[in-house]
Amino acid sequence: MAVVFDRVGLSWRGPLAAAILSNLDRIDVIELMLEDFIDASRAQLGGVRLLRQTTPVMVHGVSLGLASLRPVASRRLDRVARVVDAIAPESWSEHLAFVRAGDIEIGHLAAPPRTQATIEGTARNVDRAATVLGARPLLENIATLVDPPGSDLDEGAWVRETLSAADTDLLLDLHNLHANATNFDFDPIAFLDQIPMDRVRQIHIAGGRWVTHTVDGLAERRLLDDHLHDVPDPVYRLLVEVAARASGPLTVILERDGRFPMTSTLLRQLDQARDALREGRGRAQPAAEAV
Amino acid sequence: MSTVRFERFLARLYTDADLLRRFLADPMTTAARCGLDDTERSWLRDVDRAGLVFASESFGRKRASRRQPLLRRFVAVFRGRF
Repeated sequence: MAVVFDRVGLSWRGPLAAAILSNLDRIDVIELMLEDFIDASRAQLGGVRLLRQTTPVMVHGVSLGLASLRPVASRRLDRVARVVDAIAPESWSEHLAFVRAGDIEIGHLAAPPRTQATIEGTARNVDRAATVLGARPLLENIATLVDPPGSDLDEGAWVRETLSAADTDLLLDLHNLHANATNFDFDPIAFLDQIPMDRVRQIHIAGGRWVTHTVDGLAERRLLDDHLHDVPDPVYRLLVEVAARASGPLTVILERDGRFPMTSTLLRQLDQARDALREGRGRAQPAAEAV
Repeated sequence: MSTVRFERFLARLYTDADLLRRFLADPMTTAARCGLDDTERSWLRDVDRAGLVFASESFGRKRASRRQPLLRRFVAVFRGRF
């Protein structure tokens, strides 16, 4: 019987440092924000290497803007490479987003038009990044509050074709999927059926909140992925579905960026993720046994 | 399809509240004034108007929150000097 070693961990945030370090027996893996270490001193990077000796570490970036028709600037790739070289993580990841256009900094992750052109642009940027960093990034599906203008593909098809063209694997953010499915009225399970499950290697879970606006005289509301709230039940249910479909080991990371709850609440959410993985693996097939 | 020029136009919509207001009032004229050609303008015909408002507001808050720590650092440095 094949044994699948799934892992569950937390994204590192300064205010969570004590909670993480005092509970490493319940945290399998830690994700570091790449941009937190761009200007890090040798001593700070040395601290991360010490942490890495006890716990597997992955790095996660938000600033490259790989899903763009424009080539990512070499100086940005060089700065990211310095961090990745110094930390030597298990893997590095970035988002399926563009974050700037020339001198215009959007300030966060924007969904590109879902088209063949942006698939090819993303693949070119992933190639450039892989050449500089020596490893291909996992790519993460993003949450978007706007249905990306100019799109002629749905999200599932665009993600599937982008992973294929870029020849890389997926960091599947389940709250992003839940938020997009809620805001744009599609079935998240159908999305899971569209993407290649053998390319799903990491999972993000997080929470969000409703935001409202009056537009054209109509009250509108959308679900915002803000990482400031507990993981909602639909995200755990999606995790069960992913675990039931994926054949390879999964690493699940809980992302929390603020309004930090009690440590016990964070640890309980990690336990809920483990339970969801176990349930999905149990439902999967007799060939795989969750650990 | 998409173009570098279209990508830049989206970035402007997400970061320039005045441009977004003009676009929502008259999408095709505003897009033409920004240099989009007929094909690029056709991609905006069924644009998610509410989504543009939500997205630009959310991006604006993110940009503001990134500026805050810099301001705090600046204040901290000068508090220490004087």
